[in-house]
Amino acid sequence: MKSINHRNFCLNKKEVWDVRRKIYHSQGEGFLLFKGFLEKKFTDHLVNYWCRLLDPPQTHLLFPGKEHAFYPGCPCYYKHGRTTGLKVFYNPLWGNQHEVVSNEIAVSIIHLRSQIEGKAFTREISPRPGQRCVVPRLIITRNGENVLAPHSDYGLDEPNPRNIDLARVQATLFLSQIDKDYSGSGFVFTKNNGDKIHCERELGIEPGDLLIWRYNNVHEISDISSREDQVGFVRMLFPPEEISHKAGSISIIEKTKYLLRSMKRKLV
Amino acid sequence: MFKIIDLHLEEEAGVPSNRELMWEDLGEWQMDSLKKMGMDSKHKLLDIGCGPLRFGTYAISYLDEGNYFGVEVWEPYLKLGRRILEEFEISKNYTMKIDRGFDYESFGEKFDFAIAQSVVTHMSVRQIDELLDVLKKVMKPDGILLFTFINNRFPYSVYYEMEEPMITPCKLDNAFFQALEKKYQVEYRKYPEGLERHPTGQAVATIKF
Repeated sequence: MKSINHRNFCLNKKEVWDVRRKIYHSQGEGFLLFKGFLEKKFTDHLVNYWCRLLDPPQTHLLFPGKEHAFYPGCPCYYKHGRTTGLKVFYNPLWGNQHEVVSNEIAVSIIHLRSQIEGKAFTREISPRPGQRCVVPRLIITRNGENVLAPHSDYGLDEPNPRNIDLARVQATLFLSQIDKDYSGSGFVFTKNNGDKIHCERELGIEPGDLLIWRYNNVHEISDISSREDQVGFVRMLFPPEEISHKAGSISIIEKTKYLLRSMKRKLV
Repeated sequence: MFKIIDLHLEEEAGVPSNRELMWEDLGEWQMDSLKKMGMDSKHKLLDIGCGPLRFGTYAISYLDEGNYFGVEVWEPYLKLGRRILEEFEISKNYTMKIDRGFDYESFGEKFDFAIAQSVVTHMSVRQIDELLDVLKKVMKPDGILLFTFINNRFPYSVYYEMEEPMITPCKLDNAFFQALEKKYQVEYRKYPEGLERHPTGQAVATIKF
């Protein structure tokens, strides 16, 4: 297969089927790693922007919870775990105008994924109430146990049959390196044959590598730890989120906190 | 189900989808419905949009040797259909061909029954008219077409497997079918008595020739 990266992400017919067999076939692994999807200057840029430069309250609202968070024209959100240092940035393509590089990279990955899933690329990049739309997410995990409990998505065990979709794949864009920027289990994926793989170590994953994996296979992150001088486990994900009709109910406390923080920054 | 998914991948016919999830539900509904409409093993059946012979696995087993005829536009289904029948250990003779132009006369047969499951849902209004035009020629007198459809408010397109652009029709209301009824001198009936609800909730109708 020719080199696939964020500038060159169109697969030919043979490549599409090679990838699909690796991901969906019972004899396939259930995942595929695109080494060097991002050049170093881009991973450096993303880590620098999201981990070092950004002051989230200036660009993002506090995440109000998934229900009704995402709607046409909704803002970007962030979540910050004070004790664990977890930071999550929800960056709708229409809202994340302050970091255009992230948007461009996200679009290339969403396009690559749509080719694998055999679904129209434009289906899930514009928000339509009642449907799903990809909301790129950047996550920085610094410390924690049971960071992501073992689970699967869109599988046959979904309580709502509408959510069953065995063609779904997820993409993880790795932006930091295990045993250098963080330690712990890393991302653990259950392959189609039921064996578990500790992706970063066993696949030699480096920043800028893109892992495409079958969404309905069990996946987890059991533990992550990082020191003060380490950036943590940084990655981008591209979940299709449910789009609601109108703005959700961000609580008055959250709104007040946000306003006070903004005022404080202006004054200081 | 997982074996069928594997076969789709090996024949480059499709990624996992509702096809496999609803394999039995749809196949059983189709078989049950046609039997309730009077189909027996001696009848000849035309399966329009037969796919990889999902319903074929039921119908070929049931019908007498050689009485099943399938047409499909998606070429990979031809070989996949053969492999699926092997998987189900069905060795009876059948006929399946890739057809994009309603060339059903080339079978040289007259059919007692025809079925178009989730096919009209992928046809333009003009194509539905063409379908009836050709069926009028190949169906026996009193032959029955069983079909499913959705009455959309507006047409929208489907990009099947990111390979085949298709248009779903709109305004398939009673007036539309009554006009066809008159034009082709056939008998249209929506939701024929005795049939179970369609597993996907699509509307069900018959046309008697």
